[in-house]
Amino acid sequence: MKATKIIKRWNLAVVLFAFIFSLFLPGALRGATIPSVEDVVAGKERIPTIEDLTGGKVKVGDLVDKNNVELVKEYLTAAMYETVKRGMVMRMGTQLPPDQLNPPSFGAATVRNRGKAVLIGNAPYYEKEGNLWPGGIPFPVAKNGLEAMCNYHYGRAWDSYHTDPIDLWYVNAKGENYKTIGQEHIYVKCSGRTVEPPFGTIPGYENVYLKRISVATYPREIVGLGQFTVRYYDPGKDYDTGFAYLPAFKRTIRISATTWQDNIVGSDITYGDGDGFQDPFNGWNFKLTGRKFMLVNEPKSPTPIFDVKGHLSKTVQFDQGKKYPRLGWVIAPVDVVEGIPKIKHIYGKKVVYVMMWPYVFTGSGIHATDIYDRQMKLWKGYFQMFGRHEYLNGDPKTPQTPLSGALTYDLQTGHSTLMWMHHMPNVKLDPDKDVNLGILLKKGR
Amino acid sequence: MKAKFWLTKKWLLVLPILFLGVVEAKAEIKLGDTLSVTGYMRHELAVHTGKMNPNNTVIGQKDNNTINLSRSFFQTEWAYNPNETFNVFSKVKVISDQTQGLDSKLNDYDAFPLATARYGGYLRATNDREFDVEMSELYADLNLGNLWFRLGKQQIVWGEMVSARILDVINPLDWSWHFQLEPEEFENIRMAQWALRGRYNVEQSTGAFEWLRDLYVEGFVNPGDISPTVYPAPGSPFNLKPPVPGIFKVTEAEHRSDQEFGFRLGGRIGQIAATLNYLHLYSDAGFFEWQSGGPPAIQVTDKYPRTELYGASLNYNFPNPIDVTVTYEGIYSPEEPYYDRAAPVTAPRISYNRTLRHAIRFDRKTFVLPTPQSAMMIQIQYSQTLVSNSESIKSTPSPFSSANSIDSTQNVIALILSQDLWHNNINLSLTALYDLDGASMLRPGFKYRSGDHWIYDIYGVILAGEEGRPGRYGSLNFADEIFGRITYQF
Repeated sequence: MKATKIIKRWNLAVVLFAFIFSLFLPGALRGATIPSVEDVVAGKERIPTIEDLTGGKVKVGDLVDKNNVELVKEYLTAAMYETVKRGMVMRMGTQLPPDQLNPPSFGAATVRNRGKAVLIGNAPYYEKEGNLWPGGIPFPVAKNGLEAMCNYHYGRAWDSYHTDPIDLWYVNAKGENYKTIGQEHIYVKCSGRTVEPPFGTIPGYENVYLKRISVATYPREIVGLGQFTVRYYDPGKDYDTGFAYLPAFKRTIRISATTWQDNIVGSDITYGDGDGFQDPFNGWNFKLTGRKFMLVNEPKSPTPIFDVKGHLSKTVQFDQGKKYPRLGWVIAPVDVVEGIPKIKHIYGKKVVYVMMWPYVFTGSGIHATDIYDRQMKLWKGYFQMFGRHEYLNGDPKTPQTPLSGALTYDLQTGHSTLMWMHHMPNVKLDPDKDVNLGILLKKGR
Repeated sequence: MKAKFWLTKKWLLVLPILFLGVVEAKAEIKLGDTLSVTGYMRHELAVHTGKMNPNNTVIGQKDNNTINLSRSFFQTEWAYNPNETFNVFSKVKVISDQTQGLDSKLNDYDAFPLATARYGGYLRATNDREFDVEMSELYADLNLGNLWFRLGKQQIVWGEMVSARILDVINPLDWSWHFQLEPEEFENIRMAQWALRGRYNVEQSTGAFEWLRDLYVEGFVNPGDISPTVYPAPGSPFNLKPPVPGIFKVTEAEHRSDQEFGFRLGGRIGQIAATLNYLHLYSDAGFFEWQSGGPPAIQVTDKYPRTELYGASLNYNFPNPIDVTVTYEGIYSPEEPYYDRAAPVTAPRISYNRTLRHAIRFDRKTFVLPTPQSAMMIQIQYSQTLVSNSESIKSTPSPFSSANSIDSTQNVIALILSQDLWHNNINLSLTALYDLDGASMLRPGFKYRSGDHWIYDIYGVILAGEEGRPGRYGSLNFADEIFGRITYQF
């Protein structure tokens, strides 16, 4: 009897020791089975699932809500955790192998150009200044925040895209979608092209990184309200050029860079928030604060996101009214970059979760961004959505993962903007013919 | 006339029927894959707060009117888009004006006057003083890569300035119903004209001219169906002119086949964007020229003289931390028509003088609220008109006096503020114009948008100042008002 008691006490002591030890060394219990981010992105280990990371407590297909969110808190951004606590429900989905996430020519360029990028100013060059980056991810293993941000900005897996239609839902704190704005976007990347010829840099556009048009398509009052913008290769050397068309006046006016801080037609998204981070880099200081596995929106949804006309499919479920779409989330490796504005800015800080090679989705290089106000209080959460695994021109050898939209939650007011984007990357577009002031005027009437 | 108005109640009948047809409509009505329609229903009411219009006093109005405007609009915009190359667009307006029916102090007047009876392809289906149905725009677009054509009745706007027309002079204006007081400035009163317009976007050079960006050439030709400015009819609350003295026997100068045309070259060098413009137009306002006779029957021709105009615009954006956009626009007319000061009232004669109109504007978006949501747009503009040899001309055929003299310079400062609030559901605005000769116009505004369809806006108009010569703000103080609009868009 006494021996039994002693054994029980020893068992208890061992368990307690193990528990206390585990508090000091998180991950020690699973250390033998969970690979490091570095090994996963190097291709030495397979990417873990949420089941691996939670020791089987959360499995693929499970729902995560406010009742069990603590189990996955480690793999959420601060804003994601907050939205789940407020009612968002996440379905655990399935990650695709890296070669299914973006076109192979983009991956080939990344491999071909590996080790050749040098960072000068705010931009990467090929071996030396003046040689524009030819394409692919410039810094597959980023050493600092700016390199990680350059992977996003200069390592885009699309050369052009046409997004039409775009539906911006304005959702109030009660979850009511009380207003909808329609938009259309056209972007053409002039450098770092790997999918659509001409590859590398388009002749004549050596100084230009991308040209874009963004135009409102409804309601009637703002049809044609749009912007034509040029982003230069290094925004630190040449700041953006922008024009706006105001259909209420039939007037084309020059616009200032401050526009990046203003919101998109009154939504929760600023022009600089779009795509996770669109502000010119020269106005920010970046710091790589770490890299980790994180839950990101799934690359392939088991049900269609859009209907045949490109609007949100009725099969997509919502929680809390229309506030939180119930989407699939998978584990992906990310670089965590903290951005602090150097210029007078409406924000105090952004924490950007940048995709790590080779887990780079075609539609964007950023999964999510936490946005802080000038008092450093969490203000907004921005999450990019995918879920549409498609083939470029129907060719199964060229898989890609377009954007499906972006969710922006103002955590201080409860208001949110859900942006549904029928995104068509790598369509044939010409910077002369398809993105110019005349097109803006024509779309604006 | 008023009895007839209330008996027929055309506006009461037609608009609700049309409304019922669209009340369930979503943001855009798709009629098949290629045809869509959008538009709005609006009622606008302007309550008069100014003094009585002196131009109406002389034609018999006895009491100050209470209402300046009561108008219902049903506007549909039809788009036919069979493919990327060819598109057709039309704007159809159905308008009912109830102003004189609701205000017995107003004399009978034509709420839908035409500039002239004989020319101008207005595509107006009605000939009524209180009801109007017209196709205000109708054009087809042809898109051939870098080349684009637009053929039909259209608005062509090359100007960028606010509350001033410098380069935006191609289309005439319809001042007949609400002068220039609409918050959209010229958009609702600019009259579409028949024209062929073309634009060619020059491919980006890879050689010696690589520094030249976004280069384009644009031109238009109106084959000869032009319309002058439409003025308010005598008796209208906005009537701008006293009646023409009976001693004048006026004959309209025929210029149906006179062509208007123009072209512009635009592009960008670094951060400086610029255009060069040439316009061959006819004056939007008529000028009396003596032909024969004397009192009591003076034969005059109402002429619309030809004007050659040379214009340019420049804009530049100062980067952070200045963040200010500067826009300059100027237009030079070597032969701008005025009245010869030396000509007696019985024999008016046109004098042509050199005139330069130009303006410079500074735009800045600035976050002024403690919690930055939407930036306030702040625009400050200085515009100036320079007239050569102004001591030899006058603005009307009347005997020369200080009332029709023309200064060698006229200077106007404009301040425009616009602040969106609450996810753009609310907009506060202020337009303040100050003529340095001592006259001003203030237009504060409040707009509320409810959901996808409803818009409610209200504005005040205060015109004041000692400077009361024709066209100056002080001369328009009879138009002071508060006006509101309720709009349902679909």
